[in-house]
Amino acid sequence: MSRFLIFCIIVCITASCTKHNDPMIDDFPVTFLTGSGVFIINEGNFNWGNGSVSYYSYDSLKIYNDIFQSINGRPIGDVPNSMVIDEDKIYIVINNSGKIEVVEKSTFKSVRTITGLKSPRNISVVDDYKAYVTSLYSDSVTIISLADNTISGFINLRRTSESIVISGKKAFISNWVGGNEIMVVNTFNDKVIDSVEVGKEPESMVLDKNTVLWVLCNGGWAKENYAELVKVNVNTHEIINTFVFPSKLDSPLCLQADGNGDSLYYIDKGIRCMSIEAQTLPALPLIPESDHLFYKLGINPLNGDILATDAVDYQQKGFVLIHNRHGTLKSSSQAGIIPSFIYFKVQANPNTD
Amino acid sequence: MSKYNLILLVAVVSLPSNGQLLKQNDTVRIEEVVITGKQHSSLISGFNKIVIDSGVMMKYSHESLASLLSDYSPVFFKSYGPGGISTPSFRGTGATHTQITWNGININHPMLGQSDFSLIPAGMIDNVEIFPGNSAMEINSGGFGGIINLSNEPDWNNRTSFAFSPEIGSFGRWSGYARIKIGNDSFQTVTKLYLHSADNDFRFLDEISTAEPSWVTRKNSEVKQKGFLQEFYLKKSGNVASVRLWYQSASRNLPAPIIARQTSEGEKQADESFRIMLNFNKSGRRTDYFLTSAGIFSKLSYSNQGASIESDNIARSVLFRGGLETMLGEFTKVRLILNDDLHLIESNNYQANAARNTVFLTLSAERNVSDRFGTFILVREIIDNKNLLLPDFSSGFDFRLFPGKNYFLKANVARNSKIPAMNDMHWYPGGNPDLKNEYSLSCELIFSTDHKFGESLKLRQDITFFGTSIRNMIQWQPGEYTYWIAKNIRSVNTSGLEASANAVYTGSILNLALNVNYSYTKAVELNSQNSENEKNTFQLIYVPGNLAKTSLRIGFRKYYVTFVTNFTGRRYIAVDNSEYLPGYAVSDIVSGIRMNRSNTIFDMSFSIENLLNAEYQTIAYYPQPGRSFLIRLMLQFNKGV
Repeated sequence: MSRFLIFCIIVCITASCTKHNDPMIDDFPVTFLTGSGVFIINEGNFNWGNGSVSYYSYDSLKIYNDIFQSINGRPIGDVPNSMVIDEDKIYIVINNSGKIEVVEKSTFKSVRTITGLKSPRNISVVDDYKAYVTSLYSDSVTIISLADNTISGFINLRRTSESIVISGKKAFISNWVGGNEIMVVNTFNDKVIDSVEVGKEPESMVLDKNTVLWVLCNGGWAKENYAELVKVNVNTHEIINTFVFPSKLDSPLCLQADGNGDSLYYIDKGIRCMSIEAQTLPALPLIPESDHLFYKLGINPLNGDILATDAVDYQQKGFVLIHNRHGTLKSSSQAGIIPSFIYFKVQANPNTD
Repeated sequence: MSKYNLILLVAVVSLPSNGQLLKQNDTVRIEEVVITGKQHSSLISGFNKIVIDSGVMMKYSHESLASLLSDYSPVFFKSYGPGGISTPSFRGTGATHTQITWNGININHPMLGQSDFSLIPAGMIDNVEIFPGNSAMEINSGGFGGIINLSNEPDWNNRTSFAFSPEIGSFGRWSGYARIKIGNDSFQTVTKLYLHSADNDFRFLDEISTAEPSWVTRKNSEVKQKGFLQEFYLKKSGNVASVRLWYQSASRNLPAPIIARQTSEGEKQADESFRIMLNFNKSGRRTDYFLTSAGIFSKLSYSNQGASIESDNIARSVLFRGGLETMLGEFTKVRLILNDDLHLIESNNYQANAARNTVFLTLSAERNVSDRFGTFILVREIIDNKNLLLPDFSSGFDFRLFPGKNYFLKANVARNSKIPAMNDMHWYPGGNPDLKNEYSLSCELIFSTDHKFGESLKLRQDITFFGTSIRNMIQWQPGEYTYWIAKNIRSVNTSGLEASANAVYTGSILNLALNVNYSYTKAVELNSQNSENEKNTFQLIYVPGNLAKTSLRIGFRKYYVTFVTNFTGRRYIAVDNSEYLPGYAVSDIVSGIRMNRSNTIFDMSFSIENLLNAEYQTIAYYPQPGRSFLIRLMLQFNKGV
């Protein structure tokens, strides 16, 4: 018995010396960020810290996952939501960590972490000096100084914010959750100058080739309102036209425009495409949903490829599906958990055509 | 039970208060020590039950039930940190599959279908019994992993005593526990009070938030708890009537994972519950009757100012359990039990108030024709809101391999079912009123031995192999819009083994008790939606494959020292098992002195928790505290002993 006792104590003490406290990843990918490609922001699960960034290279036609962790040796944060490239820097907005990770465009090495943001969502570069960051829970838009990568101010909208579109010296900012307005901000003095009432919960916005603002209002999660696609004149802030979805059960999301700005795409029981000249909403999807759970969308500005993320079941790693402009599937690559925001870093070359 | 076994049992129970023993019951009959609540405390053929020793319970009087069971049972707890929510995972099943009962009455929160074990102070409870796997069917349905039964029982040998125990420790932790017992041969009253407060502002190394690791202080992790338990027992002609009142409340700040933004206006949760239980046991010559009714009021408030969330939930439950146990002939015991659970829910997360009434009718029979062979069978019909469900059943046998030798072989099978939690059906949005009940098919094979060496040394070992298939398992899935919907879509198989060894040496001046427990669990989901996973053998997330727990207690004259170590193996945190939390071992040591002078007991102990300062997490990005210290005093005054 005594030998057994000694054995147990030794085992206990030896095991107690284990010193790991962070999630370990079995396989660290190695990649180099050159040429054309597309970044995919994988949200991960809320509070789980399993979000990541993937990069699909148009040069190698391969996807490289979890590149922030691989290169910087630490997780990117909880629920990365969006990103933008400005000159030689990439700004990645981490929603539930309340921060922006600034990395070098060529190496993805972290150069700064901007902290102190409240539930940041989307970022848009306004000019050479500043960027705006929207917020899910705060009633202000945060202003980021691009010179020193710090918070330089706030724009009080008195409501939460989601999507941003910059047109000239104006920023159009949607009030998504529970809202029905587009706030118009003068980017010269960062003041709210007007608002446009649209449908329930304006979720995403794009500009077309005629500099008309298109606003996709998803109708709200309770499905008590019809979803709407609204055309807004960016000069007069007046509504040009409203397309009402046929059923309250329609929950369209993620409005995108192609590179030419003459076709719109969105997710609604599949991926739908409509001309900006169309008088009605498309009756059938260009790409049926089939077994996928389409979550976000991106249109390659050069060749019109339609990239859709498939969140599978929100727990397993999802996929990035690449279709040509006609909706034919070209490839499928496994990304991270809940792949969502898509950002293109493309230049003309044979593989992007 | 032989004379020697009885002597040994008395010796074990008589160990100093911190004697840490884990009794693994088998077919050794111990009905003699059962005083009340026969309906859930007797042993049945072919099944196992784990009873936490009363000495261990005393040591954990200031701790939560989660801490107690983490050290002394095969249950793994997912903990969000000290004072944070702790939910069990038993044999690879989910938190809702480990049920908790109080004197046989289900006290799981009806909305969640589970319990937060960090909210239950072990000091309020006299006995903890663990019914793993199929043995849980004896108590109720739904415990695929098992059922933890808590009980409070009178000590008719006690007259009057008063005990008071303050404790102070690291991270702003202090607590107080008091117990007053008054009574005689026919009447007993017990009063227990409990207060606890902790800042939980421990330091940890943050290696993820920024490029440079830094030591930071855990914030927004304060907890305050208070509890009150009053018991009355009246005994006449062998019949016992009792009233129990149990109030407890907890107010907690819920810290964010360290990877998320720590906000000053963070999450808060307040839990409050009041339980009243009336019980009557009547013992006849051949038939015993028992009747228990309870009313439970539970209030749970959650707020997250940053996200503008205010969730207020009130559950009112009326529960009834009654039945009889009778002997048919010389060898057959029959038991008939009727349960009726009525729950009324008022929540601002439901579209309307919700109600559920569930009736359980259980018939069981046990036959022991000799001391070598016994059989048991149970059939249970469940009527859920007037819907008749497919009956559950369990059956088992035990066999003494050699006459007069304590080598036992047991086997059992069971079909168990679990009704969806109220939130699964009524939460808005996403609740699905059309959910079917989950069910499991499970089998167990148990081998146990029991040896004595003279009067002072006893060894006991057992090993259990189990296999369980769970079907119609509920999972929240993304629906057509951005909210999730509860669906019966999962199929999970779990299998593994649990082994334990226990050695007790009782000398005139030296006492030793050693417990070693090990469990291996394989839990896989069968219907992965990832079509590329052609052969899916991934371990379920947060189910550790390996768990090992040891405790060694040494008592020498009036001094004692206890050493406890828990090892928890790798836990995957990604469904494709590509990411995991590494295994860890945490050791605690307690040393103290206990003196007994003229009806006064004085006990003082000093504890070091996480002795080797291990850095670990049971849930990703929720750090656990490093080494900490505790000092505890206990004073007990006895009258008429």
